[in-house]
Amino acid sequence: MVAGLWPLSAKADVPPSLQPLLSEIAGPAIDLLVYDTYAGLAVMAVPGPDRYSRAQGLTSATPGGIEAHSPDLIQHTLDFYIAWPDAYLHALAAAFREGVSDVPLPRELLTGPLLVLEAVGARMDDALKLVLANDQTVPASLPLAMLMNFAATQVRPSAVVGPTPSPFANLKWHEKGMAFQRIEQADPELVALIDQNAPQPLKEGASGLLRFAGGTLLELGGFATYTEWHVFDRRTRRATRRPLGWDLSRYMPGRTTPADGWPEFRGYYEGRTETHTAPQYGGP
Amino acid sequence: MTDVIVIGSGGGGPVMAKELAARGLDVLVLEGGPRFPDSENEWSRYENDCNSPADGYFRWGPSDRFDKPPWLRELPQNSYAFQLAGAGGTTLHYFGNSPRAMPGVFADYTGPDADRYDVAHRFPFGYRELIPYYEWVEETLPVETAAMGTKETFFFRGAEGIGLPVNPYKDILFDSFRPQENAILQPEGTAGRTSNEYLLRYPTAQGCTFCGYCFQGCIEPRKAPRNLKAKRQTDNSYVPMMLTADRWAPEGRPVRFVCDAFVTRILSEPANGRAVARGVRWRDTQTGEEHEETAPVVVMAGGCTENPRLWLNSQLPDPNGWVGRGYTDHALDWVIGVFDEFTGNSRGASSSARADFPGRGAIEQVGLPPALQAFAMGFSDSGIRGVYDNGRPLTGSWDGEAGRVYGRELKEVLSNVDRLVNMLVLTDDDVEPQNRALRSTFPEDENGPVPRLQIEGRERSARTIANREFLADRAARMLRAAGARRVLRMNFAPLPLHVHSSMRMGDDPSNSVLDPFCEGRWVDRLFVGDNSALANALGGPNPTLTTQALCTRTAERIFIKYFGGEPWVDRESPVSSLDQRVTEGVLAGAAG
Repeated sequence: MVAGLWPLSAKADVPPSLQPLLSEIAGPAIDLLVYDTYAGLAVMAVPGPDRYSRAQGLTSATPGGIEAHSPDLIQHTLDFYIAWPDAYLHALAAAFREGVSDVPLPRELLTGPLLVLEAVGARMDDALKLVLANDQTVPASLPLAMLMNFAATQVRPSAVVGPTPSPFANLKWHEKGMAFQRIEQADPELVALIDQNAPQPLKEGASGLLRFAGGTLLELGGFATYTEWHVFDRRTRRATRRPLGWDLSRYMPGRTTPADGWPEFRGYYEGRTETHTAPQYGGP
Repeated sequence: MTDVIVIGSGGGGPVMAKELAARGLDVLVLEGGPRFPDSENEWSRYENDCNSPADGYFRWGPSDRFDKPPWLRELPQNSYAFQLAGAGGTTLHYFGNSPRAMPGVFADYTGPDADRYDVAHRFPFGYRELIPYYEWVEETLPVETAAMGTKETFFFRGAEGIGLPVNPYKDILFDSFRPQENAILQPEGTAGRTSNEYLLRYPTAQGCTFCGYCFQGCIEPRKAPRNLKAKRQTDNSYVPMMLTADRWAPEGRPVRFVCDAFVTRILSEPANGRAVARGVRWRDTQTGEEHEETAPVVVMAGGCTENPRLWLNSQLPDPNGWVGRGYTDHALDWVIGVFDEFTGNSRGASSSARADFPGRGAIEQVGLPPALQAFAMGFSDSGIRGVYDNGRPLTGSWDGEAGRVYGRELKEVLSNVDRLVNMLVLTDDDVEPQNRALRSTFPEDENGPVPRLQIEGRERSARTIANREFLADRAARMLRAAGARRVLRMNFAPLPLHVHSSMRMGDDPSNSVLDPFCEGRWVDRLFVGDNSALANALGGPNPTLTTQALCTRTAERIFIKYFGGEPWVDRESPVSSLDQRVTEGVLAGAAG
């Protein structure tokens, strides 16, 4: 068993007889949680008129991170860029499970017979438990989302209930900043969770890991919206239409493709087109 | 039989290879990343397609970028390593800035400000000795005085406004500003004079077209032979030269160039209480096959992080513990001016103006497209403006506290990318042993134990911190003098972009890895030919030119010491990488 995982029976919220039902929605529920977490990050960086921006209490009349599909790019980038061993990612996801232990399963997934899961009080961490108990590969975006959600509950415990399944996405904009403050400043409780649950190399560097994670997430949050990713055709290597970020930044008005050049040449400073070694070092 | 094996084809490796191939040696260059033989069609210049650390075409990873993840390195702090694999290495995204180093960082310096530099880690030879090598490289690339666009007019207005004088020389002698000396061909014909793409093709357009994509790799002007592209990243300059050395050098032999070849071990054997390099083991990143190659001389040119990794993975001696230590990065910082008028921030060569402050460092103007601009505004060690500051509430001649520009403020500041002017702070930072590349305790990857890059940004020396604050203040004052209505300071976290001195040369055996000719102190016939060999951070100037000059010097040393040759830099004139014979070789397919 991977360090940091816990036995399937550790919590008795979901009776064994209902585990098959839970397994039907565990994956989709976690996918929703992860997406919403990064949606919360995307609008924290670049707010828009969407429901995630409304949830954080900071909106904008013009499109933002959601319209630019930033949550998808952030997830994709994290999953491919942070090529850590799967055992580490499993352990980290499990370490921050408490962040979603009081988060209800997403209501939109509980249809028909699945409603019984709500009746027995199944929670998001039950779904997480199932996902992690399976031997499937865990993408890096999952443990990092769990970290953000745990930090969110540190800032405001009531964020477990809100418009989205993600406590982080339920925070107000300023509160999101306070969650990242805890991550970037290696809050002792976060360090302790890594220390208690993660394999040795991560234990040794828990505070560094948190600083790295906090920085990477915030950097990607801004970068993603202003790229062409959401309209890029990988086959033709061109944008199919003008990227949103280009409109937001008034970049190359009217173009959908990069320009080969601009009539920007303004001459040479003081008319000087060449220089030489200084006289004291042998120049003319 | 192979005479010299060069590991890596970034800023330094191709210089060593070209010089030695021109002398008739049989040189093999092994590159871990892709070849990029058809850059016009392989690169798109879209920002995520290029710069994504996950699967951008400029990333640190194997060439099949959509199928395999990047190579792992451990970064135990908030930092982002702009490192990339492939022919050209990090010159693919450099700005071509080619200043010489500050004279004060060399052993022969006796100026009145001599004690203001990193005096414990000076270069083990004199500045005057390097000048012929500078001139050789400056003619080869070539290096030219930068043309101005709109954004440079703001920089110059700011520099004039704070009373800085102009530096008319290539050498940095006093506090001053100037156009960059860039390894970028000056605009000719229609270049810089139109945005009509049909008029921007070679030969109608020659030199820099002001496209604004230095960071995404230079492919302008379109249809130009590879060695005539505007920016002289080594895949456009030294790589074509090394592959055509038989055409332009009387004794020359073309270099054998193998890409997707990751060197995993330096082969060595003991001799007289020391080690002697005798070859390398490398792995084909596409097939996984392993190969060995032997040669009388091996040159490590894989960069400041990979060289220490390879040295340590090869169990080569490290008796003073300095392999990987002393990593310098110019303690970069970023100051942004917001203007009410068009600045041309996203257009033109990415950096064409600079100010230098001997003993302190330098400031250069940088233009960026929007996503990189957003990245820069999200990269800080001071939290998020208005929310938290990570205990680093830096205030000064900028507006408010330093920190990330995020949320509503990001959207507002970036509402017009062409109304911004960026200043990059290049600190004269000290060599410090705690900043280092070492072997991570993370599991190894297919190329062996992975590196851990450790930079304690907050524990830098008092001199480094004071220099950085001085430069950030000057940058902000320049922006105000240029007319900025708002000035923002980021206080960057460590951003290893200009990296140096992790395998440093020196004359003190207690704190250097290489002798004064860049040969291993404890391993004969093993040289280092990239930024990691630099003795220090050069006083702040961008490192590529100095590395290329140093590599030329090292190549001469190898030829003299191990192949019985004669020096050439003082006796011959260099051939330019624009030479018709190189072009003919490129057109004949010799450069891939």
